[in-house]
Amino acid sequence: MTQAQFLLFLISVIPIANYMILSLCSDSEKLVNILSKFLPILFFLHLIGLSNSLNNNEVYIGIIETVRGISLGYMVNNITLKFLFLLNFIWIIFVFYSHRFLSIEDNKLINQFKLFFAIAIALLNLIIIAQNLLTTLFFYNCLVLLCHFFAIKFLHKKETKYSYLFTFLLYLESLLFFLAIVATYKFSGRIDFLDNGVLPDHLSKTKLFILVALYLGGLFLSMALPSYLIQRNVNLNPLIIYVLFFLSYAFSSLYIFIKILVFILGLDYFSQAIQTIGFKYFEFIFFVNLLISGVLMLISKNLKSAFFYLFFNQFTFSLFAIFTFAIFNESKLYLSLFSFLLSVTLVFLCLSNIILYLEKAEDKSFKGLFHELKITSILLLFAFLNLIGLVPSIGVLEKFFLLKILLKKKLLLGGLIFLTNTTILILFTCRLAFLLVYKSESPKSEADSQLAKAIDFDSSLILTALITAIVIFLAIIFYPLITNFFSI
Amino acid sequence: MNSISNIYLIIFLPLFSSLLCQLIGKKSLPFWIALTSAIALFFLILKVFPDVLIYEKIANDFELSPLSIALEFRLDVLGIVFLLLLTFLKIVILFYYRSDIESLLDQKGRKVFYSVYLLHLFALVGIFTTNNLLNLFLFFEIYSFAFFATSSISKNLKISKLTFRYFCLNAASSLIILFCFLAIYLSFGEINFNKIGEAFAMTPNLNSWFIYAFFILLTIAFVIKFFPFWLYFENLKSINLVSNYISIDSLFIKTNVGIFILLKFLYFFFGSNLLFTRFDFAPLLIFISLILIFYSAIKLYQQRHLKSITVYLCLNNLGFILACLALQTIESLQALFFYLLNFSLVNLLLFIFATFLKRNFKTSSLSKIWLIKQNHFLLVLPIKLLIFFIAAFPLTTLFFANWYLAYASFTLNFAAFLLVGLIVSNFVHVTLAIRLIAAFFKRGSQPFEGMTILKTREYSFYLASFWFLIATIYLASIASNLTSSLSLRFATFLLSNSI
Repeated sequence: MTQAQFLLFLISVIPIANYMILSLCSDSEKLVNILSKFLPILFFLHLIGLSNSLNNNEVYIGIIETVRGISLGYMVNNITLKFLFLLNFIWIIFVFYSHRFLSIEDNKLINQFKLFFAIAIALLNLIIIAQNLLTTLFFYNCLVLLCHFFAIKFLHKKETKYSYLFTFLLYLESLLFFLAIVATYKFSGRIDFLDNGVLPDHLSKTKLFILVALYLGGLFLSMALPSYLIQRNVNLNPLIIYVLFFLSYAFSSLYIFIKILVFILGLDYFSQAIQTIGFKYFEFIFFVNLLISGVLMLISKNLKSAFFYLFFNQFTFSLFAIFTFAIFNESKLYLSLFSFLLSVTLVFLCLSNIILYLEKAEDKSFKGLFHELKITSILLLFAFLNLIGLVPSIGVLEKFFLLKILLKKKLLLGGLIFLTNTTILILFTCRLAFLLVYKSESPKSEADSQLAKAIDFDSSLILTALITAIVIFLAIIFYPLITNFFSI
Repeated sequence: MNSISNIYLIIFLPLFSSLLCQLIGKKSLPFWIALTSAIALFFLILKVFPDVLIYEKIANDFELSPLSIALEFRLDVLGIVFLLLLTFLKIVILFYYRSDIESLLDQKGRKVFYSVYLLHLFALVGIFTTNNLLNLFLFFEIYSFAFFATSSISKNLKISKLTFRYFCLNAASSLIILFCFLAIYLSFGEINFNKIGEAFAMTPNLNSWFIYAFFILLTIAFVIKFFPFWLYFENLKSINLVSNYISIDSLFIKTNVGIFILLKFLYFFFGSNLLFTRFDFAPLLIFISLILIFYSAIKLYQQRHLKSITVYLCLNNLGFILACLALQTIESLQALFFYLLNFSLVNLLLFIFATFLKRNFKTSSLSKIWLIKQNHFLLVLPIKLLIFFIAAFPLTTLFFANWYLAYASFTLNFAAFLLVGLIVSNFVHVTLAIRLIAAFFKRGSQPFEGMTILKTREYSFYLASFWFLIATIYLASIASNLTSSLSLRFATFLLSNSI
């Protein structure tokens, strides 16, 4: 076993060890607290070690091989490593943030939530380093099943049906994914992730369509979730939305999708297939989903509900961006995913602060909150401006390159999607800003002001959000480095 | 020579042990004789296994004479796979029902029970090793009588009525089989299975109607004899110990024998060429299998009790096994092998757990699983570990079965509908897994009054049988390289030797 392989093995084990420690030592709060903060840092150090010993090569570890080509194993290359760093970043941020958040919230299920998050991170890590489609499917199935099982503990009775519906959609996705893997194996004889894909050169159009339909079918079905929830008041805890919907679903789905595009179908094949089918059909699906989730977001009176739809809205837009980059500009493919992950993380950190305040405060009004939670509100507005693409940040880069393609290729429907997204976000941001800044007639009580200060100046709650914002901002400064970083 | 003597030992060991049980019937000796014989049989089969795999078949056939009929055998890849599987199942069942049988029967009854058990095993070995129609019929009858003898010790009117009904149907099916075998003998002048098969293939001008009638009659007879699912359904709510034993026999042992007989007649008697090329039975079989798959999936979704869940899981597996038969490719037969494993191991564990629940908690409802979790953590752990297998996670037996079937079904014809069946069935499996998880984590506040307190001895027997099964299931997954190779050997043997 080489040094790189050993480091890869440790990287696969550390998040699982984190979960094991949390579940076995749940009685010793101090130990859990220290170890849950120490292990992501240890993970980071190992990542640096692996990055040094990788030297632009790939490293493999085989776990089990049943038949030739059907195996479980880990693999890391330059692109995987970048996602591992991103996951590590989210892990560190979230550990510091959630611990403080839950202790202020007096949540009785604090240990359960930590376990939930730990298992999500461990499985996401394994999905990222999966060597082939089968390994990916295995850990994705684990993620879906275990997340559902943890999620139902935190949801209220009325909300568990969302979880059931969502698990149903995700399983449908993974069943189609399973069939897609079998089809890939049948058509190409292998399911490993390889540069430029594994499909043979002269694959018939029918077979290619079958593959594309199977790989995309599940993803599109679960993307349409907001439309299934029309006229329902979603009242999920933001942290649950973050771990269940964002990390376990959006992150893993988009990552797997990109990996399939690049390493299984090959971008050339994918581009050829989508253009033969007609990109406009896909654009139409994106447009409808974006519009439904956008309208639901705008008409939501409940803050949690609005942010729930915002998440799906941006997920759809991100998927559209990935599609467009994959078809017309390969080198910016990952930019969209990174932008989505960082932007949504910042939005949810800020939102959680606000929700925490509203739950604890005597005055539950959202109006004039800017004057109480200044830092949080500024960061939230920054996050929205980043999503729109109006402040120098990673969001601008993404929007710029996307717009460039849309104009160059004269994609009318694509332009309409871009415009709709921007309009919806601007409307929502204006509404949010107006509510935040507009002062209500009754002044806040002393206790509420103290609580707002405690939250707004809390090092764990604010520093984590601030660091995320800085990372988003730094992207524009290190633009050449970033474009180089994202090149395939 | 060594293998041949071992095979003779395999055939006659259960018969001698059965007699021994009758002779030495003191205390718990019959149980230990039965157990030792079954385990010895299992290891003997394991010993012969590599030789059979290498040579494909080991046969000892004499010219037609009364002595030769008694001593002939032909053990091939198909036979030994089933033999190994069923011997294993018989050991698990013996272990699991030990305490129940001891508490239900007196010393004399136990002696009879274990003796009949071994006779039953003898008949099973005979069915899997014989190459002669006359012997096959004889072993069918011994098998049936052993089954009726077991059910007669229940002293339960309802079970006796049910068994009598099955006896009548079984007698009818035996008569049909006898009539068919006689017709074969009259047509070909042979009772050696392979020679008949060859003669069958060499006579292309055989009357189609004659073959059709023959095929339909034999199918009806075998379905009545080996797939008596109604027997299980009618016994479903019973908590009688013998009733459970009968259910397990009719659900797992009989069905496996039925599948073996179907495979044997399909590939080595009628031949895939005749059935699937000349008569083109494949679409009809796929259609029937799809009905079975969809029906069982819908019913499975509605069930709340583990016992009924198991029976629909079995039906679902049978639907897929039928589909595998129809597809006629290496991959589909590999899938059949894995469905067979899943059917016999995963479903059996679920079933014996259900009977355990029913016996000790008066219900096999999913909503009551937390009760057993609360009191017996180690007993419930195997079922928790089984959830991965129910949900068809990668590298489990069901996953491989689905994988190979999906591989075989990716064609642009009617077989592609099986992919829809796969999605629906898998979805129901996952739903079941989720329901099991939810059931395990449910917390009940009220104490359950109907609970039986387990004795240490009973507990250890239950524990051993649960863990024995789950260890085997996991071993089959961990050694998936070996299992896959075996499935390939099984499939190639069937296809290459088919007439």
